[in-house]
Amino acid sequence: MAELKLNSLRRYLLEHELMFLAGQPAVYHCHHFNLFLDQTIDDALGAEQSRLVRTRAAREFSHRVLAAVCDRLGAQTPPERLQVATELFSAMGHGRLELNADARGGAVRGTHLHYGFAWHEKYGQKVRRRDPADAFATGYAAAAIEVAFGLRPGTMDGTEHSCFALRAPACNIELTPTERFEEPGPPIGEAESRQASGPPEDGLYEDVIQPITIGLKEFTAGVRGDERGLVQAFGVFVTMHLAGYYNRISYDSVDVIQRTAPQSVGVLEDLLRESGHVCVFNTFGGILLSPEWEGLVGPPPDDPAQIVAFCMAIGRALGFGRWIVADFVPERRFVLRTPCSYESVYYRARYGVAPRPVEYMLQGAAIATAQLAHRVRWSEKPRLTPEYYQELFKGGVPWRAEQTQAIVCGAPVSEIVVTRV
Amino acid sequence: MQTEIDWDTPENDDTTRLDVGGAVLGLRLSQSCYRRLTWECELLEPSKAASLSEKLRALGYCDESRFSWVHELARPDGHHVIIVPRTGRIQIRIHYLTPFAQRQACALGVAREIASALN
Repeated sequence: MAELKLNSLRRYLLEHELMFLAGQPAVYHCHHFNLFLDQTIDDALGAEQSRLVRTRAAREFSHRVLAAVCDRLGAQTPPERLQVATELFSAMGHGRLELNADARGGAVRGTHLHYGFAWHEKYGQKVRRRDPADAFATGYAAAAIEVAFGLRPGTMDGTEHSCFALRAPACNIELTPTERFEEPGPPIGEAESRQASGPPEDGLYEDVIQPITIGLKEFTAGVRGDERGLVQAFGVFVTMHLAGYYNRISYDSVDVIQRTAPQSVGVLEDLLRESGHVCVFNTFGGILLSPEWEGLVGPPPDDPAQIVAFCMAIGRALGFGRWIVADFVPERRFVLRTPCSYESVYYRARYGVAPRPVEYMLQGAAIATAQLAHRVRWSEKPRLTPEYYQELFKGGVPWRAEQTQAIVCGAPVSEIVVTRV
Repeated sequence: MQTEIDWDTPENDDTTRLDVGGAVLGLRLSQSCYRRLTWECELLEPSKAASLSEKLRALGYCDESRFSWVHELARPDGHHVIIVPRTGRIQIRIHYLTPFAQRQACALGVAREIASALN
């Protein structure tokens, strides 16, 4: 069996800046985004249904990536495949798993699991959590056993019984063969992503954006989990994550709310958009203020045009798509356009054409980019605290975003026009 | 065993000034989500920052740099010093297994070593 090297499994569709892990869509996101999105699903569906949705999404897309990685590395026996599963999990920054299970089920012990650990770090002082946090790890572990023992996808279930976020010393997950078998959805890989992407184009400031994108990709190529299986970088806990997980939990939740409480769909969609604010503020901001950025580019200036260009480069390097600046007038207008997004790829493959734009993260990220570019005094090196986030984003931002073109609606590109209110 | 978090000690933004044999270096908490693990030194002249890498290597630090534009040096005990040669920025990253209550003292120890190396 070949050695697992995360970087050799990672590939970008260069012309579209989508990232793949062994052919499966993947992106980088930080713990702030991960926790916010999971919490949004909890708030929308309630803890138990949210747990099911998140665990199944994790299981589905983890099964795909694990099967592909095992295939590429030549991992054939169950022990080899279990080894691949635990190593990949840690390399991606999700913590450490001990898998003591087989086709009949079993036990999993997790330490430093990204969600539970980061939740404890972020909220543990102020909030007492009631439900375990590691649905992603639970679904991943179930998929690992399915792949290791040649089981059909969707046949292993998991429940997290104790969790670090609930102040247990470690996380304990029980795996059992499921009584509610779930047929996996259609595949979403490189071919489907190409099919759902428009023609790439250049925008403003490409001479700035492209070299930085290349530099950031070279930097992230060497990023992998430490001894704990966590990635501490740019002032946050970073994960390489499965785009399918984010997409499925988001769109499945919208589906459920549309069926059960249609009057609340707008609230859920607003929260999904806010995940874009959370991402740009914490991850993009953390990158801009990091020594690594300062070495590669220089300290970020108080120049909105440059910050907007920098954010395009960061979005591309994180695998979000070939974001371009289609138009920019300081204090008045910012137009973000892209031939693809990880959301549009999933939506088109799973749902076809949408009646209205539903690239929530992209919409939120566009507004947040405008806000960071104009309202943050970068030269003062601000601390990206929750209080500062509240100051910048709560109580109404002075920007309005309109998605004027949407791949999910059949357009060749997605375009967000952000204008000053 | 996972890291225990001491919630009772507040973060603070104060800059601590170190004077080591005439070399003065300011140290303050960095923006980050890790509790007291990341610290910033006051900016150095870029020429001094560039030479610092070599001096720290001579003190037993291991050069783990992957790029010329940002130097990463690891102390034998796992703490790291990040140096940006073009701007003179120096960041100290304390190893995460360091008990919470000792993190500031460890950062001060590394900063003293840096100040001493600059003499």
